[in-house]
Amino acid sequence: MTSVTETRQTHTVRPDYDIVASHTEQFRAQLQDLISQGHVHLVIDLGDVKMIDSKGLAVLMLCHKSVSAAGGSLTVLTRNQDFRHLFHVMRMDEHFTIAESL
Amino acid sequence: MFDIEHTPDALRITMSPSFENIDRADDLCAQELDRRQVPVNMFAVRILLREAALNAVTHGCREAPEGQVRVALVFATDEIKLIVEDNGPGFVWENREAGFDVTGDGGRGLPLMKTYASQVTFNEAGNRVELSVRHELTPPVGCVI
Repeated sequence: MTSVTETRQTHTVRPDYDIVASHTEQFRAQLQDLISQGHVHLVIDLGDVKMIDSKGLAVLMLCHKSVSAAGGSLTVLTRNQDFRHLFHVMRMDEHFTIAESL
Repeated sequence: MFDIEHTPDALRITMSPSFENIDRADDLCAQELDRRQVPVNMFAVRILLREAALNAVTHGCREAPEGQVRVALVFATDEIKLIVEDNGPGFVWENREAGFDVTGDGGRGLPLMKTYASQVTFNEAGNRVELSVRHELTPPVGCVI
């Protein structure tokens, strides 16, 4: 299950499952639903996520491209040092904001 | 199918090609590393297993039910060897060496393997990869830094 909270124009999505191949279709569909409803300022909170793989990275990048094309933005929240290193070596942090908190 | 074999120096898994089985293999390997208290970067081993298994499931077996993926986590003296093999025809890994598009939909698997493994070796057919992760160094007892 993924919780979604709305604050002003920003929607925060907090998945409680790992962002890996077995779940990426579900996650991608949830994000796409939000974007198609016009919610293009998204925050993805990875606080409950324990693992990410290349398929998960691809979904985050796709989300970034979709919201950017619609004039929005993506911020990913994580305090996990392994994730932060992963985003850095895969150069995801050059394209959207990675932060510990808002 | 998801068969597990424990030996003194290895954990071996033979499984049908599915994303759910990759999750099971990852969980098992993490438990085994924890149980043996192996001094490695757990995240590195886990992401390597996942990326190698993803390649085997999606490119090697093409998710065909008759496909088979074998994962071996071998505990050596100073490193972990992770061997992932599938019964597919293999493919030309060199074609994927040219780098990847950061904003693209795919192509991140091999760069991730090269980032997190100390050594990456494919067989000629391209259906078997061996990945090494060295033990993390810990200062000897009494060492003052």
